Amino acid sequence: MNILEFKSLSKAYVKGINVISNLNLEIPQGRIIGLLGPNGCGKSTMIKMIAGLLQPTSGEILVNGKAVGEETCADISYLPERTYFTASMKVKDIVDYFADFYKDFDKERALKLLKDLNVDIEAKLKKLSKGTKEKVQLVLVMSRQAKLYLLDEPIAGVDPATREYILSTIVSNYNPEATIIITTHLITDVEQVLDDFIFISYGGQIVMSGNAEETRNQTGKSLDELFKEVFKC
Amino acid sequence: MLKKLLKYDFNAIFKYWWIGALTTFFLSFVGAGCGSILETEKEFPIGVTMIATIGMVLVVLSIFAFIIFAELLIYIRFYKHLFTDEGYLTFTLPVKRYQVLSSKLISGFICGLSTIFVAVAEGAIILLTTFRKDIFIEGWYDRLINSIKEIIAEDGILYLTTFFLEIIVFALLVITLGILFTYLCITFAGSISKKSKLASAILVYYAATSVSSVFVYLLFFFGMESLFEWIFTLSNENTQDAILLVILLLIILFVAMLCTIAYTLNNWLIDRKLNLN
Repeated sequence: MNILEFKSLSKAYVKGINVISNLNLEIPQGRIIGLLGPNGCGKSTMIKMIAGLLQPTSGEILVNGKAVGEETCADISYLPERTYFTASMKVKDIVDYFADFYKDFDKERALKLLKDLNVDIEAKLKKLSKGTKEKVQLVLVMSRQAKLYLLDEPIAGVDPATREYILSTIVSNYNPEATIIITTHLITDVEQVLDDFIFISYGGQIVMSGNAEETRNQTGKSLDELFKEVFKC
Repeated sequence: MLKKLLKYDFNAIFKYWWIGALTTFFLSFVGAGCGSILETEKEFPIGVTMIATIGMVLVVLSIFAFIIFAELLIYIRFYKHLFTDEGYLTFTLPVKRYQVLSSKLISGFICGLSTIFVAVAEGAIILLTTFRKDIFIEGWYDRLINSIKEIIAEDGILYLTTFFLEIIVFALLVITLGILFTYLCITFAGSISKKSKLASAILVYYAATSVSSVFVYLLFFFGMESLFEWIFTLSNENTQDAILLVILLLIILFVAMLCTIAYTLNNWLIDRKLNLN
């Protein structure tokens, strides 16, 4: 069964200039998928449309067979490329916030992960460093039993040690029945965790896609090398 | 889900609001003390009188500042929660968009109403203490009751009850419209502008306020004035009363219609034109 379907999807911020143009895509359940492409190719736009933050100009998005709305928000766990917390809230308040709104949120797991990370749950979010805030956000997002995880640039702007932590958290908290979509241009770091990949070019066009392992075996190249070849300037 | 949204909206607004309310409430007693010094027949040194005058002015200003502060709390909460990075969380919660708007409207309305009550109470503390011996203030309660009795005797209890009910509904609707109108300006600016959303919201607000002020001026000072002149030419007082009640009812319906339009438009913009950078 497909967890996500794009049907003739287009998005234009300015009339006549499509960021995504007539895109058709089906993403199955139970996969970790890398949505890979150069900066500005429409990856984040795609993710925001799935999350319901942007409206498509035309076409349709179905999440678990349903049009994007309140019900699909309950199925999606979304990690944006920025921190979205109210700065004056304490870490424990934001944990309670998630527990209040998301039925699938595992509060104990979140608290355990935060404890493992030595995050003081009594601390206000504005007192935390950028990296710690990102870790808190990732812990909250991955502590949900969602059907679809959307991770928009989860490792951009963090140090290599944090990158490793983020990726291990993603893999260790992954529910095999769920699908994870990771957007990034830092392919070397995420390559190891991906089941499938999709190379997106400008205009939201798919230029290459497939199983990560099979592609590596067939071409004898890593996804990073392939990416550099495909998107050579 | 609306209850949960309300819980967080109330917490976010009232955790700052009560500080302002308590501070100005305490200051209103200080103002009352200053007023007593100024109004007493006893002679005080000039320095004391000056301090009392400055104190009184500052207390009155603090009450106005509290009203502005409360308004800003409502609108900053709305803007930040919907159109800054926080919007990424707000709009991905499993709630309907109209519930987000309703929660903001209800919390803003309760905050606005509470602010009015507190400000009136503070004003009353200062006035009634300062001018307690004044001819206009002394025995105000008895005079109010007597006036009400006179109106009841003249126009009947039904007229008075209907009139006050209409006035209360009108006042509540005006508060609602004020909040929805400002929300709409913020939403409109948040939807059309990619950068400087806050500056755009302020600009849209002032532009919309200027246009609507001209409209209200034209409506009331040309249309309504002639209408009221005509009503008071009628010889039958019962007919005058009935027409006034009907006019007030029509104004209420008009404001209610504006509220509905503002809410619907706001909801449509949030639902269809959301534009988070």
